[in-house]
Amino acid sequence: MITGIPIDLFFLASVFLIWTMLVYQFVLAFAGYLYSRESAREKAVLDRTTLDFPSLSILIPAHNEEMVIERTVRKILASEYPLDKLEIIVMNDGSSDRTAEILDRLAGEFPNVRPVHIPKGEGGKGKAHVLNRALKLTNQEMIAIYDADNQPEPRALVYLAAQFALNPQLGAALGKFRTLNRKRNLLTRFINIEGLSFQWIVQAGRWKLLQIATLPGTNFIVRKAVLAEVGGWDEQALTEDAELSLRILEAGYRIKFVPYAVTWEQEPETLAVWFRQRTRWARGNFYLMHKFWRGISTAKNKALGLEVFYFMALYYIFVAAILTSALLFVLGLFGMIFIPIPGPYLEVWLVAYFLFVSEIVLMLSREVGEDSVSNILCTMAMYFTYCQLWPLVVFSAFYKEYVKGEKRTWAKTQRFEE
Amino acid sequence: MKAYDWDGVNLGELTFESPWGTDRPDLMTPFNANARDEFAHLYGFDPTELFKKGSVHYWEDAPEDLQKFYAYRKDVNARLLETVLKTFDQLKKTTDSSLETVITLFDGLQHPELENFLGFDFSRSVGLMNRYNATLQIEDPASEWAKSPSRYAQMGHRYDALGLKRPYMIDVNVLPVHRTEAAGFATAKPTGAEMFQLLKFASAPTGRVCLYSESTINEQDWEILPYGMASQASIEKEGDGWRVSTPVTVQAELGGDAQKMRLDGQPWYCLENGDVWIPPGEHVVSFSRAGYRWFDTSKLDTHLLSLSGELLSSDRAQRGLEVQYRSLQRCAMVFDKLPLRIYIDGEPYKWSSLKGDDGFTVMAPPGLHHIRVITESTFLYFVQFTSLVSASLIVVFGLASSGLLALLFLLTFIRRRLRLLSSS
Repeated sequence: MITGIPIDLFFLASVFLIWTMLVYQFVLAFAGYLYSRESAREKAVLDRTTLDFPSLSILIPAHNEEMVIERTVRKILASEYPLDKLEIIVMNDGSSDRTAEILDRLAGEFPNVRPVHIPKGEGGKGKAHVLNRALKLTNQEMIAIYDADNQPEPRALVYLAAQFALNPQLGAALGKFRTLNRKRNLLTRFINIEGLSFQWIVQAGRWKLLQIATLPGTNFIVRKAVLAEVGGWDEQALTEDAELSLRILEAGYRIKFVPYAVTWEQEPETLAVWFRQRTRWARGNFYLMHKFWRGISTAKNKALGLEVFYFMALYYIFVAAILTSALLFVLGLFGMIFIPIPGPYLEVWLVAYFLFVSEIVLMLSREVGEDSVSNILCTMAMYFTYCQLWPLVVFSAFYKEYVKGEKRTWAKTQRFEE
Repeated sequence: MKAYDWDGVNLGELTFESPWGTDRPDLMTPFNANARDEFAHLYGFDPTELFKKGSVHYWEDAPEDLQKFYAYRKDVNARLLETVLKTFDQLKKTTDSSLETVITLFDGLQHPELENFLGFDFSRSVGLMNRYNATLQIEDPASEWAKSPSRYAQMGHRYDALGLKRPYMIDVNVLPVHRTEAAGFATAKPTGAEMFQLLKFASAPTGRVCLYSESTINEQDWEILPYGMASQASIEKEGDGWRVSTPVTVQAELGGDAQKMRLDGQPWYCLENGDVWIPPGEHVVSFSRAGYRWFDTSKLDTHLLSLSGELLSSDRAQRGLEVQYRSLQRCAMVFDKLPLRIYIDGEPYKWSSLKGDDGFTVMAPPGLHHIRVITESTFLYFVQFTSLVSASLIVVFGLASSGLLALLFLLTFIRRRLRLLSSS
C-alpha cells in the first residue's frame, strides 16, 4: 500500500482545483441569475421601443439539409424584422440531396432568399470556409448566422439587432438556443439541461461580470466591419465560432448574450453522434487555446486572458483534477493507496453535488416549464451519468489531437427526423 | 522457527501418555531399546521386568523398583525439556528476537499423582523455566473441568506463592468437556456466564490467560471475553466524567460521540472512536458529547488506537505521542498516523509499520519502555492543517452557496405562483 506526502498533495491539489472551478461556476451562476432578471426588464423596455433597424444579411451554410432547410428559411422569413432590410444567403455547400432544388424554389417564391450553389468539387471545406465565401457576397452592415436546422422565434432578430443601437461598443450579440427535440430521449433531456445551464451560468454570468460571451455556431449578429477588421473566420478552426469570439474580444469589442432572442435547434439523439460532436468541439478548443495563450498579455480586452484560462482550466486542469481524484478514489477502494489527511471530505463531496444540482435547478427555473420534477430528477442523475462522459470526450479529443495527430476536418452534425 | 516472525512458541503435553499409571502398562513408556539400555545401566535391570508377573522386579511386589522407573521417566522428560528450552534460548540470542517461550504443564501442585503417571518433575520443570526465562502455563486436568470457575482463584493462590520469574498463565479449555447428563451442565462447551466467569477468575492473578479451543469458542462468547478480562476494574460516575479503578489496562466504552477526552484533567490521546484506554490505577475520565464534530482539530493529533501490552502513561509530544508501556512479549501498538520517527527510551528505534484498516501497527520491544512516536514533519503538519481548514471552509462555502441558490429557486417558484394566481 502506498501512502505519503506526495499522494496527500495530489489529493489536496485535485480538491483545490476542482473547487476553484466550482467557486467560479457559482459566481457565474449567481451573476447569471441577476442577469436573467435584468434581461427580463430589458426585454420589456425593448418591446415598447420602436427602433430603426440596420440592413441585415443572414448567412446559412447548408450541406445536405433537405430535411430542415425549407422550414428554417420560412421561419426566418416569418421574423418581425423588416423584410425590406433582410437578405438571406443560403450557401449550398456541395449538397448531393435535394437542398439545391428546395432553395431554388424558395428563391423563386421570396426575393430576399439568395441561394449560392458551391459545386460538389469545391464543397465540404468546412463551415468557416463557406462563411468566408458568403461574406464576400454581401454589403450589408450587419451579418447574422444561422445553422440550417434552426427555427428562430419571430422577434429573435429584432432583439439581437436592437443591441447594437443600445451598445455602440458591441462587436457581436448572440441569442439563446433551445432544444427542439428535448423530450425525444434521456440523452436529449440531458443536452437540453446542459444547454440551458451553460447559457444561463456561463454565458449570462460572464456577460454580467465581464461583458463577454462566446459566440455559438448560430443565432448571432456581428458587425460586418468587425468581421472585416478581424479577418473573417479561421478556416483551420473546428470551433470557428468560439475562435471568432476570441478574436473579436482581442480586438477590444464586446460580445453580448441576449437570452430573450431565442432560436430552436436539434440536438444529437444518439450517444455516438453526441460523442463525435463533442470530441470535435474539444479538439477545436485545444486549437484555439494554443492559438491564443501567447497573445493574452497583449490583448486589448483583458477579459480575453480569463476566457483562454477558463478554456485551459476546463479542458486540462479540471479534467486532470477529476481524473486524479477518481484514480485516487479507485486505488483507495482497492487498498492500494491510503490518504490519511484530515478533513470532512465526504461532506465536501456532498456539498459539491448539492451545489451542482442547485445551480442547474435555479437556472432551469428561468425557463417556463423547465424546472419540472422530471428535469430536476434528470439533473440529479446527470452528475453520475452524463457529466462523467466529459473526461472521456476530452481524453478522446486529446488522443486524436496530440497522440494520433488526426487531421482536423469539419463534420456536420447528423440531423434527425422530427 | 526462523522462517516466520513469531511472537512466541508454546510447548504443551511434553509428557508421557499414561494418565492411568500402572493400570495401563502398555502406555507406561519408554520401552525402546535405548531407554531400556539406559535404565538397565542406571538401575541394573530391564524395566520390562516391572510388568512381568513372577519377576523379582514386578511392580506390585517391588514398589521401590517402580519408583526407580518413575524417577527415570521424570529425568528423561526434564532432560528433553531442557534441550528444548536451551534451543529456543539460543535461537532468541542468535536472531535477536523477543520470542516468548511458554511451557504448558499440568497442575502438579494440586495433582502430584500426575507427575508419576505422566512422567514429569514439576518443581524441576519450573526451575528450568526460571533458568531459561520461559513462561509457565498451567492446565488443570479433565477431572477439574466440571467444577466452578472459581477453582482458578484457588489455583492462582497456589501459584502466586511459587515466586515465578515471569507471570504465569492459566490455560482454560473451551472444548466440549462437560458431561451434560451427569453434571447438570446445559451445554457441553463452556459458554455464556460460565465463559465469563472462567475468564474472570483465570485472568485475575496475573492479567494474562490462555484460551485453548479447536474453533470451539461460540461466536457470541467473543463479545463477552474482554468484559471477563476487565472484571476487576470498577467504574462509577463522577461529575461529568467517570472514575475508573483498575489493576490492569482496560478500555472504557464511552460512545462514538465522546470527544475532547481528558484523563485526570489532562488531554488524553489513547482512544479510538470513543473507546478510551485507561492505565492501571485510579483515574478520572472526562469528555464532552457532540453529535457532529465541526472543524475537528483532534484529527491533527496522533492517537494510540490500541496496544497489546500494559499502558502505563501517555502524553502528547511535539507532532507525535509519548507512551510508557510494559509488555512481556513485544508490544503491538496501533497509531492512527504513519510514524515518521520512533525513539525507545530516548534512542532512535528501527521499525517497520503495518497498515491496517484503522491505522499503523508498530511492534515495540518487550519490557518496560518509554516510546516517543513522531508522526509528522513540519511540512506534513502544514499539509494536514491546510487540508482540515480548506475542507471545512469548502463545506461552509458549499452549504452557504447551495443554500442561497435554493432560496433563490424558492423565491422564483413562489413569485411565479403568485403571478399565476393574480392573473387567474
